[in-house]
Amino acid sequence: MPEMSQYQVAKSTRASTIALLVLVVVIATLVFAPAFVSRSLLQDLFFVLTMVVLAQCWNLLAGYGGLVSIGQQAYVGLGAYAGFGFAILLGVNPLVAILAAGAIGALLSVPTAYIVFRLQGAYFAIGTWVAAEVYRLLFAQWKALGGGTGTSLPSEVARSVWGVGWVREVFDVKSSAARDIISYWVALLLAVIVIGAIYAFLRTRNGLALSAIRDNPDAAESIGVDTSRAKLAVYIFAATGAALAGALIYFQKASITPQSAFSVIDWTAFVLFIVVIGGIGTLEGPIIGALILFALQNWFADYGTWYLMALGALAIAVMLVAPKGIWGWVQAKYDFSIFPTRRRLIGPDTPVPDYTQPVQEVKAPAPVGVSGAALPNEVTTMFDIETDVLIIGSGPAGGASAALLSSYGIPNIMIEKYGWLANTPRAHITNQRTMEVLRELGIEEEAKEKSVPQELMGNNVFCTSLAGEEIGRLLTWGNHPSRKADYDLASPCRICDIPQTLLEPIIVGKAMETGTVTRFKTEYVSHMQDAGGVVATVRDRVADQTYRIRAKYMIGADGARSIITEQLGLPMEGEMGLEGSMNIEFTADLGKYVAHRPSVLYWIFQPGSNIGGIGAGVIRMVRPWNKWLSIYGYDVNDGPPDLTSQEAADIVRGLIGDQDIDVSVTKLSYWTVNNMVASSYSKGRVFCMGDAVHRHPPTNGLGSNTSIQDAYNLCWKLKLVLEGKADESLLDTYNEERQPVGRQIVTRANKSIQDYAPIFETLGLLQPGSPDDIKRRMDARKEPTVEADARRKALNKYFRHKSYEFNCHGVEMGQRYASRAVVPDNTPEPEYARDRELYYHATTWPGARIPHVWLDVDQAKVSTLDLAGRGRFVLLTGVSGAGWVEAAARASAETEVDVRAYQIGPGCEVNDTFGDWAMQSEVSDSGCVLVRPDGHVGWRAQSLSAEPTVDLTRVMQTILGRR
Amino acid sequence: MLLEIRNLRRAFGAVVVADDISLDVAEGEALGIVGPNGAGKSSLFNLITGQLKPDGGNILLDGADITNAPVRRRVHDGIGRSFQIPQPFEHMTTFENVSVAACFGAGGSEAEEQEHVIDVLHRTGLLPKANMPAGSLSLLERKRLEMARALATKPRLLLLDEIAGGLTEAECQSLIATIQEINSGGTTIVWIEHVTHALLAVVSRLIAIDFGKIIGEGNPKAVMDSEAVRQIYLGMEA
Amino acid sequence: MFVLDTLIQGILLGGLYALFATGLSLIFGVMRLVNLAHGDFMIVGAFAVLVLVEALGLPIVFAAALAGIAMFILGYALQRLLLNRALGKDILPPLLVTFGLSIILQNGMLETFSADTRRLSFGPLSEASIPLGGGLAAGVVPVLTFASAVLVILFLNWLFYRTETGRAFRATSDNPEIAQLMGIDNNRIFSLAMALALVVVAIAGLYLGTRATFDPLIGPSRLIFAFEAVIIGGLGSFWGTLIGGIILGLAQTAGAQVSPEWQTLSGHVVFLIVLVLRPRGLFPRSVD
Repeated sequence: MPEMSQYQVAKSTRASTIALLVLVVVIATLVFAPAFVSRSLLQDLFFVLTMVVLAQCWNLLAGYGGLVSIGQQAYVGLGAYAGFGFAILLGVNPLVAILAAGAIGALLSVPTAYIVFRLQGAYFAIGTWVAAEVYRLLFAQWKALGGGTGTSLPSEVARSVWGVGWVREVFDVKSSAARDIISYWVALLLAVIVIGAIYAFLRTRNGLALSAIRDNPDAAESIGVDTSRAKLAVYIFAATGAALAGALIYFQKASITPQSAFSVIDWTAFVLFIVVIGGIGTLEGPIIGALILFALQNWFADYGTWYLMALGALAIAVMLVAPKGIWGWVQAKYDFSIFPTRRRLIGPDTPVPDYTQPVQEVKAPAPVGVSGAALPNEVTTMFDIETDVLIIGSGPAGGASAALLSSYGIPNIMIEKYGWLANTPRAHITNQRTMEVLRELGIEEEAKEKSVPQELMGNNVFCTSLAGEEIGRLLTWGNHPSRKADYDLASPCRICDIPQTLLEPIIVGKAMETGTVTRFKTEYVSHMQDAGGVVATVRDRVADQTYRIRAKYMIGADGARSIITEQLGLPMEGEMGLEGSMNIEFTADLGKYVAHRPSVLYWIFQPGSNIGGIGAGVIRMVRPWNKWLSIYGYDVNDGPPDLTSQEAADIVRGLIGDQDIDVSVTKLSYWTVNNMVASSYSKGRVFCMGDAVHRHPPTNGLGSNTSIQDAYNLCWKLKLVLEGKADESLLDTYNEERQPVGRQIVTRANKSIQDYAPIFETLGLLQPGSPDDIKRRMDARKEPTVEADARRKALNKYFRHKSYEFNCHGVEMGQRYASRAVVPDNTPEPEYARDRELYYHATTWPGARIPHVWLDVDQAKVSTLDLAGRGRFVLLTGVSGAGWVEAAARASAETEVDVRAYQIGPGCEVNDTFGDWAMQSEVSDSGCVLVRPDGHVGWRAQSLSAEPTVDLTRVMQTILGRR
Repeated sequence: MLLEIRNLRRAFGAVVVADDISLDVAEGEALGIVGPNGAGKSSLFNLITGQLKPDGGNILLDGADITNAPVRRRVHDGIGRSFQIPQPFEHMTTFENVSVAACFGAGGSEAEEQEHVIDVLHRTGLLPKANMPAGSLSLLERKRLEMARALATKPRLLLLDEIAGGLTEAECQSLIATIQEINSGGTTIVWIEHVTHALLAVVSRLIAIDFGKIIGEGNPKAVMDSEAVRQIYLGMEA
Repeated sequence: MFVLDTLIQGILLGGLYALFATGLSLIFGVMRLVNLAHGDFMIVGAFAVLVLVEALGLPIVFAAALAGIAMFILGYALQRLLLNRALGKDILPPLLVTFGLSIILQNGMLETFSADTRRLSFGPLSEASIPLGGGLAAGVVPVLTFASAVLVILFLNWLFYRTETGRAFRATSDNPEIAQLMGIDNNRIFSLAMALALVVVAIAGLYLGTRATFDPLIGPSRLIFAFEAVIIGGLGSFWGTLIGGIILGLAQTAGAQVSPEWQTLSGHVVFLIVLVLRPRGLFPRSVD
């Protein structure tokens, strides 16, 4: 409970108190004005004072009460006619008649209000106008007061005004002038009373209530304000004021007509202008406005219609440009009021703001929903757990992300719907680039232990069955002597074959070991993004409870049936479910059929094996030589067939070509061939990768490789952004760089399927017929005929062509990125000397992966890839590149991002003993190559520039998105 | 019983917002209300405050039938309410906002209510902003102002409508503390909220409403875990 | 007989008032704006036709068509450049701006055309009438007016309820913020609505000018009739506006039998009675 004595509420300020005193002096002066002011000026002052009265009443009604009426002329006329009626017909003294007129105005305003209050807003306004018209028409019927043509005040009535005699004597003026003086005093009195009354009213709690009603009538009602009664009270007051003024004005004019007394121009239009221009909602405004109108009237009224048009235009302009009017501007600029009504709480902890400073109206922040549209306030940002990056899915993409982020020291949580990792062999070809990533993570050796090495992978056999005739063979995965060199030269790592069941635990194990928090049996449900990050709702399937995880960024790696991409509405190109395929896992000892031709894949060309699936029957080695997976297709339009183990085993035996062999089917699963890639990989703070954004058949063996490299591309960027060293726009480059790759591999994999069709054709397997017919057609190529020779050559050609599936080194290794995180060096892209899909072309052109060369560090062999990575930038330069080393140090300091520089050459930390770096660096000895944390070249310079620090810093800032 | 609702019914055409609702609120209790959007929660509040007239049924405040009483009467009788989307009197200062509520809700003059107003501002942490125009307040401050205004009317029954939405964790904690303090001071609270953990920290009883009907009532945790309620939330979050 | 004649005249007059009112109703329905210069625009329309007929010697129908096109453009520009700026939560700005506009229009016309009363003519048609049997007759022009009113309302109903534009009108009127989120350009919709309304106003002006004399200052009184017709009929319904116009026409025609002043006055009285007994009008459609 605060100490009450420390607080007080004040309305007045020093300035306002002074101003009020000044005003009192002014009023006193005005009282004595008739003594020294000319008659015409007195008449002008009369005009101003009566207009002030009308304006203050209208201001109270509309500016404070929110009741915009354009019918106040009803009461002016009413008051005028009532006054005339009382004076002429009842012989009442005009001064008393004025009071009586006021009473009449008050009285009649009640039933009028009853009627017009049934309308709202603008319709209320017109309603008041109609009411005024009704009054006009009615009074035009009143013959006693002249009907439609009106009447004038008889002179004896005029003379009977109290005080005329006294004034005539004191001021030594004629009767008419004396009347003017009395009218003036009455006007002054009326103005003072009206302003005083309004001011006093505003200082009471009812004044507060009126402001509340104006700001928000429903809220006012809900705190107990009787809004209807308040509005009625204000309306009656305004009517009374108008009636009093009306009676006074027309007594002064001494004649009346219905047109004039109920004139909408004189008693509403001008009043509106006064209030609006002077400053609506203030007490000072109407006074100023009246003075201005008077001035304008004086100077321009002669211009008749033009004057009126100008007034109209002025009112429009003020309304649109400065709706608070003149005094509103003064108040805003100087926080000065002559009639202050604001209650200030003065106390030890209640600062009074500087009201002259523009106040920023704070809009309540609108959280953004999944689709990007603003959400209503009900959405919460509550959560239970918090981390930097939330990863959905523990497959190759998710697992690799987790491992990489943990290796960079970024806190992350990975959730996985099932209780364990991959339970089917799935992906297996692990290409060199992926092995490089595993190498950086320090799990290359472990993976190699579990893998089947390159030399056992490469005898791609095309046969009628394993036991049957071998139709052709292709050396694959870099096993052909000429391709082997390519593969060996391209990377410090070797391609190998590891089923996903064995690889995932290694990756995820590494991730968890280095800090990833993994929750199994935790299912992703939904998420929302807001300004601070992402809040994902997940369900713990064990406890069957949902909870929320908040992360700064979320990685959606939830596979080919991703719901995250659905929820984000990521645009997808292509289709799913083009062909149907079944995987039959089995154990059988097939050594006798394959040990002499060791391979990962055996392709079976039999009748029926071209249906569905990838277009050919496959027997894939899972573990040499007893664990296998056979792939067989079905017609996707028929739906997956319901096979028993026996039937599956029969299919397998058929593919093997041995009906007696012991085959034990361990698992059967179905999948479809897809040809789909997301046009955009991310939305806001959610980044999708892996199968979720590129869905394709297993041909080319690119799936998990691409997924892991998606992760490798994104994670270093997340690291730098989370550390505050890079701008968030760096994250956009993930999509720019990886989406084209995704599209390329999806296209490539689907194309590889189509490449089987010609083989089937040439073998004659596509035409129908009995088994004998088919055998005959297949054997046709064995004939010594020219036709058969052509067929043999064709078959050869088509088999060779499958190198595009199995020796596609360029697609595996040759990604070149183009984005804002790659700074070009204005050299043209090097030409592809050979087929760019089949062959990897090493280059240091910005955007390409740094070429692998073996370097020597303390007599140990180290690859350029080994120097790079680990979440930092690397700058490679030659013996004369000391300038770059210094530049790197300075740029590091400036950007706070680690740029490790290496000079390569004799006498340097790193020696180029084979001379391969000099040959492949493509820059001069004093040049440099800047390598990004993902091993791709970010920039290079041919030689030492004039300002290496400036240039390098500029490049870094560009890559980091900070310029 | 402070508030008794008997068979309340209200529909807008085909949309039923109150489907034969009956509910009792004991004096001094803290009751929570949850339910999906459009379930009829705010409409229930509108029916209680009188902004909405029921098609059928009764509402009794402390035994007196207020079913047809106008909004103002109910405010004077002791029902205070904060709006879900804050409705400050934007051109008036915070102090004036609370002052007008105190004068008209509780019924005194400005001078009489001054101490009460300062106390309310203090309890809702708005004293530093007392002289700021309400239009310049942040979201949390506006929500506090909603509460302050409702409190100023010296309510016996305080209806809070989704007052925690959009706040940070720290802000939410501070709000919870204030509400707890108000409740322990003797004011009965009925609170609609989506931020369920805030609700559960304060209320001793919970109702769940869906399609204008009460689908769960009782111990807060039990109601939240009930099948019916989890169904709705699952549907909400997807 | 006399009663029947009054009835017929009243109904036909109602057609004219319906024309006055439909434009007002349209604007209020779409953007909650009451154009206080509505009546003055009618007079502007009448003068436009007059100028085209007198200056270019065009037959009145062509002149009317041209005037309609001009008014369409004027309405679009007016809304786009001026009135859209005034629209907002506050009701004062649009009121004041249109009020100012009214003053400007009236005085502008006074300057251009002087205060003399004018008349438009359909030529021989102006005097023609259709005998209805039993000595009763209906003037061709009033019948045309009524028919035009019905056609306009049919058109507007079709536009509002069966077209894309109409859907946009209704969406914007129901909830301008959400309509904007849906990609509806409020500014454009409002400008279109105002343009349409001014075309209707032009048609009203044409018939006003042919039925009776007109001068630059009678705009506001027509506005009042339009307003009364809308309120009597009920907000939000075009057919309601027609009914409102008819009732007003009937009231005025009946009152005219008493005295000229009672013509307008009876209209006001009927209006006030409806307002007291049925504040939302006789056939309200929208929830206002």
